[in-house]
Amino acid sequence: MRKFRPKKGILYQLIITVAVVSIVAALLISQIVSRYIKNKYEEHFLGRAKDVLELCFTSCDDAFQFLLSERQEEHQQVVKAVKKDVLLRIKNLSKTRGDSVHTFVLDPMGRVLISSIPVGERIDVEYLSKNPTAGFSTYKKVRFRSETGRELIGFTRYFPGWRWELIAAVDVEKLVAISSPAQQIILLGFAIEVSIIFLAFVLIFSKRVYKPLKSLGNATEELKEGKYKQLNWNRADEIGLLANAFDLLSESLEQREKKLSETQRAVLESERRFRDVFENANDIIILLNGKGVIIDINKKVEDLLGISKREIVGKSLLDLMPKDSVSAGSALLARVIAEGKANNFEILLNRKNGKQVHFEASCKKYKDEKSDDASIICVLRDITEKKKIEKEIIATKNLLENIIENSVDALIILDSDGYIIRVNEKFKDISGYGATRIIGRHFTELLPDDIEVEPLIREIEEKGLLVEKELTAKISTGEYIPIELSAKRIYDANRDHHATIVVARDLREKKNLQDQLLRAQKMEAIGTLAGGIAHDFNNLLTAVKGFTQIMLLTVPEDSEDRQYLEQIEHAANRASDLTKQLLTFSRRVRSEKQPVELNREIREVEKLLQRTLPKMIRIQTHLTDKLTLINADPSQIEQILMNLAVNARDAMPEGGVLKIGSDVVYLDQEHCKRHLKLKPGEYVMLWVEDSGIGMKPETKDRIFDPFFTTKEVGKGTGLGLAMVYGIVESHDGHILCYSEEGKGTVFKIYFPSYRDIKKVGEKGGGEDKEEFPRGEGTILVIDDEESVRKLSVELLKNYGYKVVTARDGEEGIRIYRELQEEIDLVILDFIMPGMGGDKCLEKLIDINKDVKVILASGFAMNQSLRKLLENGAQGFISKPFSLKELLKIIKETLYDESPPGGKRAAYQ
Amino acid sequence: MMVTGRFRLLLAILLFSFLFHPFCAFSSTKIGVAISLTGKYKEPATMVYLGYKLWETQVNKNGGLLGDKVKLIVYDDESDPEKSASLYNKLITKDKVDLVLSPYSSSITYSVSEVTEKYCYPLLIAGASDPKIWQRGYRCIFGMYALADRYFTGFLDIIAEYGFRKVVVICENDRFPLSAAEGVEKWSDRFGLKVLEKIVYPKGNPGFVNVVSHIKSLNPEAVVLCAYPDDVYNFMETMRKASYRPAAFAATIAPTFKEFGIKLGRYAEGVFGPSQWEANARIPYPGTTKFIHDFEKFTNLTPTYHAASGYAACEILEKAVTQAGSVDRQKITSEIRHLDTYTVLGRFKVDQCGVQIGHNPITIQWQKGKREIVWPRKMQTAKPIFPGRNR
Repeated sequence: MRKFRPKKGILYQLIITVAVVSIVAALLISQIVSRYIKNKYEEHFLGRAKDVLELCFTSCDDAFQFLLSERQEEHQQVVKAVKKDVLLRIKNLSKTRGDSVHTFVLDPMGRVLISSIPVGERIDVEYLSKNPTAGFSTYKKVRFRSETGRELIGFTRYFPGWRWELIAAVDVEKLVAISSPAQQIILLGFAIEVSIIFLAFVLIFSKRVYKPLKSLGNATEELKEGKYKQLNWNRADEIGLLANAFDLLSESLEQREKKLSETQRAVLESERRFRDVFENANDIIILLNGKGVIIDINKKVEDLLGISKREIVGKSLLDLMPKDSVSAGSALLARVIAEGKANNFEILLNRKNGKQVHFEASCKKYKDEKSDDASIICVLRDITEKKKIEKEIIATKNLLENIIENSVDALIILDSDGYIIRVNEKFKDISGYGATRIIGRHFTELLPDDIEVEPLIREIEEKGLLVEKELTAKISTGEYIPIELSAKRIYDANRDHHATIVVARDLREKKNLQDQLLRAQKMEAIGTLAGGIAHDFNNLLTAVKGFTQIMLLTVPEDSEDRQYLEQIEHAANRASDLTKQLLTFSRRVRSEKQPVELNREIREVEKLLQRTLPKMIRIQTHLTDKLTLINADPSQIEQILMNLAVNARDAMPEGGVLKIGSDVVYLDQEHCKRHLKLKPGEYVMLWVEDSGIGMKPETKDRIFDPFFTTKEVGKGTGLGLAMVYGIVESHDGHILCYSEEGKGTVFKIYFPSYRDIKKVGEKGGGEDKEEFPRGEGTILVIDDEESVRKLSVELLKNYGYKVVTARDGEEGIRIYRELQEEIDLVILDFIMPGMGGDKCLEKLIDINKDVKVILASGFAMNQSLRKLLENGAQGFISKPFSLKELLKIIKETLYDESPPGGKRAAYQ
Repeated sequence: MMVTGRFRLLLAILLFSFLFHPFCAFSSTKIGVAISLTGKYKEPATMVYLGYKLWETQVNKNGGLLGDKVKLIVYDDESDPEKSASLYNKLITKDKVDLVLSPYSSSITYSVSEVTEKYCYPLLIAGASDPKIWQRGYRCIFGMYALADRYFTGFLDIIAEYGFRKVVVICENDRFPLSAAEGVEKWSDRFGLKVLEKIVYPKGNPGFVNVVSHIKSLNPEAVVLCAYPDDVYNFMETMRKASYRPAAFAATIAPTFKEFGIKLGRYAEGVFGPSQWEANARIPYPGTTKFIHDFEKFTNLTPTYHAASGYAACEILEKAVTQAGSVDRQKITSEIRHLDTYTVLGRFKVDQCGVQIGHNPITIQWQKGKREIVWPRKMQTAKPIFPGRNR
């Protein structure tokens, strides 16, 4: 502590300061007062000068008014006398004012006309007359010097009557002389006053301030030594307040010292408790300074990272992080320092063994009381296990997402109240509703209004699931589609109903295929039935026609019986046509397929139609040039076109347009899926369109049924479209019908493209000129129909052949085995009771692998027959056959040396 | 100036009383006058006429002139000098009046004085100040006003004192305005002012748009307009529309009327005008206060200097007749010539030519809706102001 020195004391310094300030203030005030006094004097004298100037002006004005009143202003002598008088009066004004104010009059040229003191001929001032001051003031202040060099200050005024410049001014020196004694007296008074005040101040200050302060200082020094003294001065001034404050301070210091020792103990206890909490915390706690340097850690650090406090304190937190996390870590620390805290962020720290540990950290900035610097406390929780679980959850979630989104059925997830909370992509495909449109709506909005929802909901609620329930659903286009619905309620961990998963399957395709299958089966059944009848009927007709022909050969030309026989033959031919149509429908008619150019067939038929159809029906063709060949029977194609054209004609009784066209189309997988039998690939399309009356849907569904007709009795057989259907089916094709009532009908027929075959030439070939070729050899006829057997015997023996017959397959095998060497040819019925044609052929080949067999059947060539031809039969003849056909194929088979199956092409 | 309804009624009563009064039955002194009760001079002329009528009423009330009733025979000259001259001829030759009183305006007085001089009727000119009237050597004419060339002495003295230097003067091509304008030129030179241009415009109110535009281009500090009231109003309206106002503006006659302030409102503020007299307590002449009171009571109007001049002419005539002791016009003429006396208008003294030399005009200025005397300085009721100077 420094020693008290009087020169540094307040009293000494205050006295010096007050003395200096008093002197400076006295000087300043005396200057201001002196200037004030001088200005006051100047103002006073200038006021007098102004009064004098006013008197001068009035003198001039009075004289001028006099001249005006007396009409003497023009009389030069009078005017001169008056002016002289006025000038004298002005000069005298100076004297009457005790010589303090001097007067001057100048003429318009600035020459001095009169002056109370000598100033020369001119006075160098800026006259009002020369430079009028904008007329606001008729007086102007001027300052100039007399001839003797005395400085004069005053005013000038312009008198227009005689254009005189009037000046009244005072002598500045005189002004100073007058004002100086007054200034000196005032200054002396100030000096005395200041001295007295100064002495009084020193005395009072010493007694009232200096001495008490010194005592106070001594008492304060004693405080240092622990002597808590009480001054108890009873004073009401500032020193008294200070003494009271000292007493209070002394008392409170005494008490505080006692408290302090108690508090210190409490603090130490608190520190120990908090240190325990810190060290034993379950999470890592790290204290950092403002630069991110670790200043303290708890024991958990060593447990989790394997690093001791000694190793870690003084390092940066960033040193503990993997290299690729350092930049993120430093950004985080910067954020904590800037924002004060950062919560629940993840960081990676290195263990001593090199492994990495995931932590969830929260950091907070706080003020370190010791250093006043910002410090940071970080609490880190090990979340390695948590991260692992999270990863698994994400993987599971992704898997579930994939399952939901890639499900082949539509998935709808409902909340516990039945509102849609999730749909998958398939749902959108089926319903047309995007997720944004449908989420939040109730699932019943997807069902038609007439569906009773309550039983459905009840079933789900009771059983917890719904299995493959077929329903109708309403989609975004407003259509109703068949669906198959399955649903299951799912529950949360508390067994509370959480959500419902609904799986919806679109049944449109399935239904469509089912319909097609049913129709195909129906057509197949009808075909089988019709084919069976027609087959039997053909056998009968074969006998009728055959015997009729035999009789016609024998009956003379002029016999009356011949006419009846011809009638029988004609009726049998017509019946044969009908059965042929039936067989065509049931595909039991032989098709002679060859590469065909569809456009040529259409053009041929078009010519025919132009002649036959009524003129009010216009025929248009739309044929494509890029058409490929098809493998078809040209006559059957003609049949198709004619039948469709006749139907179109009947649909357009008032006339209209018949369009026939062709095109090449590619049917993809999607299209084919909807139609049984169709396979993806290139197709040649034939289409026939009319603008007629169209059909109702229920009519359209039955048009291909045999004997179904909407025409009047006798006008249609109901076999036309059935035959078309049969032909298309036998060509592995497909027929579709589109019709709308009142608008017309379109038939589209798809034939498989036959690309690899060259263009077909004209039908050439030498027709067998021999109408009924004769031959020789033994022929075994195996047929269950007796009439056929008899006819064969009668026909063939007339043309050189020997005929042996058998009633069934077993008899036929037995005969062939006996007469194998004689029999050159076997005519084998395909369908027979007992051993069928196929079994019989097998046995015959077993007996003789070179056996020559002609198959006979009332059905058209089909797969079974084709197989038999491949397996050994040489020829095929369809029933009812003509004599010419029979003789021709027998001759060809007998004299053909080609291996079995070699004649297939002729019959395809 | 608009003639008020009350004023018209009064006029009608007076005329009616004239026409049907059986004055022939008594001995009376007939005094004839033709004055502009209509036409361009009607406003100042009517004031003069009302001054005559007040005197007639008062003199008759006090026993008449030399014991005889005074009878004024009044005609309206419609502001036409020729008509006025013929009316005076008629008054003298047909009506055989004993004496005449003067008409109003310098141009009419100029014509009429030829007639009165011819018949040696003394004519106390109460409404004219054109010096040319007195430059013909006539013996029987006596001015009441100071001459027109002294009208603007006060205005020019003031503006010279206040530092103005450039003046433009505009005047109608008529006797009085031309004389007043000449006076402006003369006194400007004397006070160290410069007349930038004197613009003389033809009689008959030609419109002032071009004149104002020209003055604006000259940019004078002061403009003096020498014209009768109608032209003054037109000129000021044109200035207002052109948003032009010189730092100082003075005009003859119109500013002395109360109606000037009513018609122009705030635009009258600061306008100077020469006046022969003002109805103001500062006017120190004997009988002035009583005259103002009597006139206001008689007409319900505040008298202008024209009314005071008319009344003062009658006072002089009465004094001369009384001193002559008869209505002998020669004696009366002689008495007038030698009179040096005071009237309500001020001092009356004429020179050998009959020019008024005892009376000096004063200068008034419109300040805060009132006419204030600003010159001579000793009579000032207010210091001059220059509101246009700050524009």
